[in-house]
Amino acid sequence: MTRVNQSRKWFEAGNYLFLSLVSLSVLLPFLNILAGSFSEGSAILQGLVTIFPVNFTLENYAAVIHDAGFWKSFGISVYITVLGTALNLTFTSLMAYGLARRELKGRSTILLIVLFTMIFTAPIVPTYLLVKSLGMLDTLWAVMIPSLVSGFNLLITISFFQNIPDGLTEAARMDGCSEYRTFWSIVLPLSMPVMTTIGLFYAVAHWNGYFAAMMYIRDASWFPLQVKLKQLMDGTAGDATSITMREGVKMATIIVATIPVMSIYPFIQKHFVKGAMIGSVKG
Amino acid sequence: MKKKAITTLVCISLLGSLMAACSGKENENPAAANGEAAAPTVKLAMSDRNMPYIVSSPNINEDKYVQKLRELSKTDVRIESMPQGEYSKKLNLMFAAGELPDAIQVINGITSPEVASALNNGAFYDLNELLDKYAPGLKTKIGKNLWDSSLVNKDGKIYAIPGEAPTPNNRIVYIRKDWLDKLGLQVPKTVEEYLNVLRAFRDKDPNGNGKADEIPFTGRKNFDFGNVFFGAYDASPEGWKFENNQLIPNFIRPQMKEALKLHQQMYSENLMDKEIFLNQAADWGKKIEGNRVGMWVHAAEYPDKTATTNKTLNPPIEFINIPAPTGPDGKGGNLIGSEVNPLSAWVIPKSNKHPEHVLKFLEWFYSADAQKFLNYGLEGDDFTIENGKMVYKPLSTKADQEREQIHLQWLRLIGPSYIHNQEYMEKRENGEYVATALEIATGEGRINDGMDMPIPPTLTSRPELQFTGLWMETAAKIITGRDSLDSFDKFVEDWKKRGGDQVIQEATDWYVKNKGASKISN
Amino acid sequence: MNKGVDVNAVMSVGLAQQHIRKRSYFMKNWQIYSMILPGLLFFIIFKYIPLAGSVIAFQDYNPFKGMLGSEFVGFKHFVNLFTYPEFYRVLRNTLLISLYQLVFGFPAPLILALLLNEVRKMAAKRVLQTVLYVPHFLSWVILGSMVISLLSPDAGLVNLALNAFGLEKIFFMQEPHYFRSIVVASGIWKEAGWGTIIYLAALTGISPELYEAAEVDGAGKLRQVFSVTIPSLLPTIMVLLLLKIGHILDLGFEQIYILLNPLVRESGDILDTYIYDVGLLGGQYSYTTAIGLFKSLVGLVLILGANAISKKSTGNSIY
Repeated sequence: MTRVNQSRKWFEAGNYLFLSLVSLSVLLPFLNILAGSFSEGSAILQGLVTIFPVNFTLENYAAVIHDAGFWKSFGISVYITVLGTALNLTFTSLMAYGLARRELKGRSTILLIVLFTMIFTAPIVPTYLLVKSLGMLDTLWAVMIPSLVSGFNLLITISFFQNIPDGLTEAARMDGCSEYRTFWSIVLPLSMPVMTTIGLFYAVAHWNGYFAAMMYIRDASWFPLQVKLKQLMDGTAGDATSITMREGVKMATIIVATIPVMSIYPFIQKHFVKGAMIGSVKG
Repeated sequence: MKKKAITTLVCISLLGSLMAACSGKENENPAAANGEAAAPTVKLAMSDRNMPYIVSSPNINEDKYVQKLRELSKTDVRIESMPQGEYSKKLNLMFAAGELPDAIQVINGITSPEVASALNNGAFYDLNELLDKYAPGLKTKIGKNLWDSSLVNKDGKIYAIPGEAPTPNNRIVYIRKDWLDKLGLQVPKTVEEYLNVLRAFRDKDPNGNGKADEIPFTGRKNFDFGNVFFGAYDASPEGWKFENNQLIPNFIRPQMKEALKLHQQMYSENLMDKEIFLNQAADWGKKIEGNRVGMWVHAAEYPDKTATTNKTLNPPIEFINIPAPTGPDGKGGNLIGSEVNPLSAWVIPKSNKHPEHVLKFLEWFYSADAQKFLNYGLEGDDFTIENGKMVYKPLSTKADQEREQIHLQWLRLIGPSYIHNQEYMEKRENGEYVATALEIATGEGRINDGMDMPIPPTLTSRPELQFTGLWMETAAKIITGRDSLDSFDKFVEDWKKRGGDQVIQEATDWYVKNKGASKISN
Repeated sequence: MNKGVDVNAVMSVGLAQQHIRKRSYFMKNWQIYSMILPGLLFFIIFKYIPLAGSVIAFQDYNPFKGMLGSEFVGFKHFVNLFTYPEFYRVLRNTLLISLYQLVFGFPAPLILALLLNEVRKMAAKRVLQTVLYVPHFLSWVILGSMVISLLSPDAGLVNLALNAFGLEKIFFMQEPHYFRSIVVASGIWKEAGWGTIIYLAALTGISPELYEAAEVDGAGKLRQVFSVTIPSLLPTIMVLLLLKIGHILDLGFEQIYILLNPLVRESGDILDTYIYDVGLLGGQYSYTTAIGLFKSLVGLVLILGANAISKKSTGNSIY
């Protein structure tokens, strides 16, 4: 037995080492940007900044915070992310619940229909015309509705729902519960891991979204954050008169734009708890 | 606990939907203050040119400069600012959806594919008579060359109002004055002299940090801002030459082989940035401002701004502009471009029922009022009046530099650039740089017989035939020493066979048709 | 002779019964179908209706003339694609990179998730999880130039290390035979952490009783992974794998575009960069749509095939 414990200890130590190294490698670029955001511009240009700020300064963040346009688009991104994700979760989970029933007639066909749309994407112009004809152009709905249900997230949710023992749902039905009731009271509470997972995926997709907003919104004052960010990044090409953007400001902007969404995960980690379903089905 | 979360989400959704419903469109044209007739509304669509000040604005139509523009021009201007990077995509979508503004800024005039196809479908006004009737001043103030350019003129009809290019030749050499002085070097003229200077830059550690990290010459990917040595051989890769009754691209001519030989030599001697094929704009800028580069190429328009910025760097860097290296024929320089500003010409869609408003508005840009505003900006913010004289505030921060772009360049929809305004330039910090730069730019340059040519049809379905495709691959391999110089001949043969001959035919047809015929009579 | 039954009557009664049964089936399960309906409508309205616009791949589409007014040209654009002299190169590069990503990139998040799962201390586990997915949020615009700097012969860390070991500097970014590996490796590095999230979520659903039973049977930790963990994760793994196969010709355009330069085009030019080059010239909607259709068609054939195989062998499938 001691031998097993020994090899177990070696494994754990090795595991920690490996994961730490990987984490470090992954963290370094981010630390570099973080350091740059607190550094003076010239130092960055000369490559002096590695993972610690050089000539520490808060002027980059000051520039970002005083930029009124930045905060407006930040707010728009928050709005899109929160509302959009709420809509996503509602429609996706309902549809997945229905399609999780393996014996349901027409299931295969519907899934094939969904799969097809994941492989074939429509060209830009017809999609744009559709959005226009629905009157959504130049509104934030155009950014949220065309991505209402992601086929990928739908399939994942179906797969998770199918993991819930049939015994539970059978029991509920026999007790006279409607499908909606079963969904709300039994299935959803047991599905927090997958709901938080796809919730996270949807939220990140909204937050990072660029293309839909760029296409459908004509009034530049309603652009969400990522569009503004991309424009600022592109600013070094061609016409800009100073050779480089304010490097430090660029980095501060990146930090401010990515921190919110990166911080979601620690808050939802508690839902990834083991054993949510243990003991729920007897015999 | 979970139910509470869901209820919260539902409430947010409802609230959100309400907000969205109420998020009305922009305030419409507010009624004129006094009892006068309301100023005519002119809706414009234009590129934001990625200018930081414009991009960061929460609402460009409420910006104080735009408001001043409205006041001075007595026109209610409403601007739809579109991202530069997606400009042609957005234009296409605009055309497809059919909701067009009163005037559209076009890039590369009417030759860009989306505009050209819209034009062929009769989307824009033929402006000749409208100009005579409503804005004859434009016809007299804008030179004939511009009206004749293919960028605005098709088959003798004028479809767009041209903005003036600040300077047709807009690429000149920038070289480190402090390095030249430190090493006791003369200003080079010929290619050979340039090479010797570059060698000194490479070997003698002019930036004084003890490391051999100098990059004598650099440019960007695809030789963007970096093809000045090709000019010495009259072989600028984007240019065309009419020879032996054919309009052929420079990159298949024998002079190109000579130019490639030079570049190959420069690369192997470490006189050229080894990463020249990888440099994005940001990388390029970093190297220059990071005190490593001896010679580079940039616009002739704004060396004054570069000079101002460079003095704030740590360590500061000092440059001068000098004529480009001259080749075997004693001449050199980059391609001379159009007098029409490729970034700004204006078409008027026929869906606009009052084209005269646009025309009168544009005509205003040539007035003294307009020039004063565009050059000097706003009183208080950009200049002050002391003892009856105008005192221009110096640009102390980058934020200032970015802000001045809106009146100096962005809102200058048409009309002459400020760099030609002597009085203004004298007051401008480092304005003398611009004077020198303009002198150099007008004194050199290579003629591009294919200037303003719309993209030949075969090229649109075979993009690899452009200079950024097959030629760039071949050139990169030759220059880095991977392939021999003679692989160039094989490339030319290959290019012609794969459709190049057709491209030549189409280009030649265009040339004969457009350069041979006489233009519209004024 | 009335022995025989009127076959027609029987049949029509049978059909009617079937019909009633079908109708009553739908009626009985109306709630389920009502839950599926909104999502289904979404797919039909927002995905299928615009898909009809793919017809422009068979036209010389002019946005001004619209779909009804543009000229029909049949397979002209497809022929153009297949006669593109570098078509084979572009297709080959796309497939190769996809294959490498499948072989190396697909298992990476899974393995990482399994390793993370073995971390005892909750606090450490949480921190590691959060840190690992950070690169997912940084765009390729930034990461791309970081990769290039890292590999730079100038002052890049990798070359500095090589030098320290007495080896010669290598200009990685300009050597065609390194390019695909750089793309795949940097892609894994960026996305593996993010990819663990799904697996970690799935792992929470495995009952510990299964592990206990396996341990009683004498299975060591590694055996348990293969006998309990992987089979339990199989549905999730198969869905992800099948979808990856369906997107075999869809690589990350942005990453490759940023890393690409003229010297490595022979290994790095892919369908998506070709589409981009065509699109840059503007107005080539029909051609780019045709290329997109081609990619989708290949993906569809593959995923249908893979789905069938998976159904037979593992019992898991998408539909």
